[in-house]
Parts: sequence; C-alpha cells; structure tokens
Amino acid sequence: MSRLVGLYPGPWRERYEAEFRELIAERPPTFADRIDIARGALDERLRPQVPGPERTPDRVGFGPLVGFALLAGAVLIMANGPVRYDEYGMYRDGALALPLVIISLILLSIGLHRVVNRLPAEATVPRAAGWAAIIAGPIWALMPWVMPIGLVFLVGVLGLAVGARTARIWPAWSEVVLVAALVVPAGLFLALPFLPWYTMRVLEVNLLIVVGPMSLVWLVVGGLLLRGSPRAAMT
Amino acid sequence: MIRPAGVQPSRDDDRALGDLGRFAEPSLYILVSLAEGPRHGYAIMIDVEAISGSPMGPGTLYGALARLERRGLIEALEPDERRRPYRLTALGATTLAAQLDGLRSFTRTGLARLQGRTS
Repeated sequence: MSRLVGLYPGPWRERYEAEFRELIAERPPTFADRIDIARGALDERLRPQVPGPERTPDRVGFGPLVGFALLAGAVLIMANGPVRYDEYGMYRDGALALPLVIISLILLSIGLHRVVNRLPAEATVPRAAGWAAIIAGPIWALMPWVMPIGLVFLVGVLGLAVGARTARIWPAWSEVVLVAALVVPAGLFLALPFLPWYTMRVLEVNLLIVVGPMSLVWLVVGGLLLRGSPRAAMT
Repeated sequence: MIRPAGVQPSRDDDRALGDLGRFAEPSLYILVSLAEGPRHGYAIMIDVEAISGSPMGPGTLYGALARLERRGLIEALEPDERRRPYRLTALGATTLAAQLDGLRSFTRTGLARLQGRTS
C-alpha cells in the first residue's frame, strides 16, 4: 500500500499522507480502492491541488519541443526524399527538409539559451559550451555537411548538460541519457569515412545517424525545460 | 451536478463546484456529510456510503477533500492523533445550499413533468 501512496506528489504527501494512511489502516483497501488511489494520484499529478515549491514557468520550453517535432519531421522527409543519380551512384535528396532543419535548430538554440540563463554565475565553462552550441546549431543547420560544426554543437550541448546537472538544474538520469545520445553519434561521425555505407553515399543513413540521436537529446532537453525547475536550484 | 434546462445555477455555485470534474458529485456528498458537523476522513467515507448507497474510494475522497479545502469550502481542524477532522466553512455552507436549491428545482421540474405525462 505504501507504494500506492508514494504515487502521490511530494507536497500532497506532506499535507495528507498521515491521515490518508490512518484512513486505509482503518479500512483496508479493496482492489477497487487500490485502483481508485492510483487514479487519485494521477489526478493530483495532472491537476495538483496542494501547491509545492514554487516552480518557474518556462514557456520557452515549448520552443525546443516544437523544434524537436520539426526535426523529427525533417528526418522523415530526408529519409523519403527523391532518389537521385550522379556519376558516383545513387543517393537520396533531402534538400526539401532543409527549411525544417533550420527552423528546428533555431528553436532548439532558443531552448539552449534558456538553460544557459539558468546556470549559476560561476559556471563559466558550461556557459561557454552552451553558447558554442547556440551559435553552432543554426550554422550547422545551414551547412549540415560540415561535420566539425555539428560536433561543436553536440559537444556544446553535452558541456551545458553536465553544467546544468552540476548546478542541480537537471536530474542525474538526464545526464546519462545525454552522454549516451552524444557519445554514440560523435563516435560514429569520426568513424564515418571508414564505414562501408559512406562510400555508397546513402545520404539518409548518414543523416539518421546525426539527427536520430540528436532528436533524442532534444526530447530530453525539451521535456526538462517544460518541467521548469525549483527556484532554489537557480541561485 | 446534472442540471436541466431552465434551472439556473447561482454564481457562487458555479465558481465553487463547476470545475471539479469527476470530483463534483463526491464533493457534494462530502459537503452534505459535513453539514451535520466536523468529521474525519474515515467517518466521512462511512457517512457518504450511507447517504449515497455506494462506497467512495480513498483516492476519490482525498481528491475531493483537497479540492474543497483549496476552494475554502471546508477547513481542516487540529488533528486528533493521526486523524484530522474537517468542517464546513461559511462559504461551503452557502455553496451547499445553492447546490441543494438547484437540485430541488431540478426535482420539482422533473416531478411536474412526470405528473403532466401521467395525468
């Protein structure tokens, strides 16, 4: 039963847990009651009635999420672009997705800027990493074939993420996801010229390697931005 | 609360319970239960079951209590050991009266229409 009570958010538990436990001690819950408790916890999470620590509303968080959605759309367009032939063989033309990529990376850079603003004053390295990513993102969008710029973007995001974690703006698990999502594609970038499909010039494979993990990164970043963060963590 | 056409809710009524969603009906039962005097969670649950004829789950009870408390319709008293009694506030009493008035109009309208149908 304690597990079910644990489904409620912290502020609610602080206010009601003692009496709630007393109630269910007096009337042991049936199966239907357990479902009712779980539903009540879900309601409280969706529409909290007990105010918790003040959170910063972050409307900018919608920008990165829209950016992520656009990026995902761009991947779909690229992967299904028209097949072209030239003297080197066949490739898919993803040019149609370029406007989406540009808009999405601009939106994502806005999200990065928001995170940079949350960093404490002494976090100079993560701030620099964040700014590097903010600048590199849109440039990379304009020149996606220039891989070093992409690497600057990804490493900048990683540096910012580590800084955000150190400043306790983000939870630990987010860092693990970000590292995994950045190290794997970065390794693949470096190995790209040595991989067999590179010579085949199958463009969508290369792009999926780049954009796929990056989309995952932004799913995490956008989600975290939407959550906002306690004011206490913003000092 | 289900309201027939022609039965106008008061402003207080709508402001207090109109946005409670699935907790609107349980909230009304809780207000009726507390109209008799302060009660703690378990006592409310037993009383509501007696009034309505069906049990109210703990999640629904505390979801409704939190909403009523937040809207100032009930207030928590000092805990008696681990049990915390609740009582109706003046706003809660007014709101309950408005809700019951609405229900009375509803019942009257329904009964009058039924009588017209059978006569």
